[in-house]
Amino acid sequence: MHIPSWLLTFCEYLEQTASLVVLLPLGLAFWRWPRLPKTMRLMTVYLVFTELVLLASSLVELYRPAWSYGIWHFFTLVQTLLFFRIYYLTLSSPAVRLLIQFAAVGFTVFAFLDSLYLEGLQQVNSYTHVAQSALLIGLALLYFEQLLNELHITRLEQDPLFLVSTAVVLYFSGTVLLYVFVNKLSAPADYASHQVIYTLNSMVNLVQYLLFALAFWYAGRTLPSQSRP
Amino acid sequence: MNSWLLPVMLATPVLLLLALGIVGFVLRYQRRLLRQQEQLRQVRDASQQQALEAALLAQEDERRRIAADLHDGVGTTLAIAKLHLSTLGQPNLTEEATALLDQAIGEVRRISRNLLPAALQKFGLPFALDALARTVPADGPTHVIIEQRGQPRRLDPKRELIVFRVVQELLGNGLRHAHAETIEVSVDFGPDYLSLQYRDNGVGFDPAAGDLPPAPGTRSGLGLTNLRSRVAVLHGTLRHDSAPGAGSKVWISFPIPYLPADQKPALTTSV
Repeated sequence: MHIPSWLLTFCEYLEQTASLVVLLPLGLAFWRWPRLPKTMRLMTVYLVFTELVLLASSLVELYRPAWSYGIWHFFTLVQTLLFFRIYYLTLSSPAVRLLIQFAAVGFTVFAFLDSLYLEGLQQVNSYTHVAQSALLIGLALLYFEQLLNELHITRLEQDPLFLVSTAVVLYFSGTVLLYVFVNKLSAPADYASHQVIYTLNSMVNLVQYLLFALAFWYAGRTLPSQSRP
Repeated sequence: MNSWLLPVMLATPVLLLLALGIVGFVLRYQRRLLRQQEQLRQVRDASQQQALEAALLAQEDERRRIAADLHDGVGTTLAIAKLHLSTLGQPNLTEEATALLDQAIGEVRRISRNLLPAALQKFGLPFALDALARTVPADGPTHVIIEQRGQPRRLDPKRELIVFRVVQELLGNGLRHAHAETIEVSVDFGPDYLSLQYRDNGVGFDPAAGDLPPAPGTRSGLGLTNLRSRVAVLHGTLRHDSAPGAGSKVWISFPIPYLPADQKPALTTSV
């Protein structure tokens, strides 16, 4: 299948736009920082960390290309642990909290195993990504279940953590297949395939950052709610 | 181009759609649960309202029965006893007993009238309120003013009785506990509402200390609980403002459908 050159150019622009859109949630996060709850402060840490990794990745690409994948392996691990912490603070069930602690230890061990033995540091850690997607989507669904059980928020679309969880579900379900096949698809010679993968990733990223921006917009505001039963 | 790309490109939107579907389902299901919870709350509120109304009506029924028993039973017996005394033909010996019987008959009448205000049933709320004001002695320590504004009209008898009881309770609480020089009650017959304003210059009370036993010489404001129940039966609103030493103010408003001018309320009611 031939991909027209204009589409490739469009894809490049989209990718750049997506990386710029992160400034929107970051700006809102800094603006609202004094009023942000702990979970949303952790989200801000996550966004800052993402930007730092992007910067480090660009520098490493220039000076030590061999380390490039290693940085992203490290990013996947820290990203997952940050989300684990956010959900640990949000989910109220003691059993789920215990599960998160075990999952964090198990995931860390698996991520190291994947990076050092299973797939190595010279390619994308797709196994870790799949595990990450499954765990984070699971935690987001547990949060949805908690919301439906407690029913203390009347406008879900204005609840910051609902928006964050929606972003998590959309991003990880939209990219899980890309990460499963990424090592097969992105051979350096196949520029078009490579570009399509990153465009798909950028599109989902764009939606994710917009939802994060909305979450920061509503964070710290008094939402219409009803007392807990 | 890689052969894996097309299936991935096709499957990714499907997965995204699935994720969106889950989010949409959560949103819709949550709304439905909230709606159901709201309906449940409304039903519970309505049944509580009905129970409260039934309790108040039962209380009024009981008052009416006691009033009738006092008037027709005890009152009549006392009157017959007085008659027997007068037939003895010895006024010198029976004078004191007759005076005591007169006093007892008067007391029975007063209690009976308080329990079931006949003026309210016969002539309506505006007249009964005037009569209520007249029951407070003009030369007593507290000067009571009941002012009626707007166009005084008749209400449904059940509502009239509840409004009357509210005014009676306000006045009773004020006279018993406020130690005020003046108590003013203003009744405003609005176009589709009836509002009451109570104001006294007495000792006042601490509205925040409703659950604590009152200190000597102070008021607890607990009479407000009864008032709230009566006001709630008519779907009214109650607001109050008071502080120790600063007197008390109470504002009550009821949404009330008045009876048309040509329609007289039935004299015999369930109350």
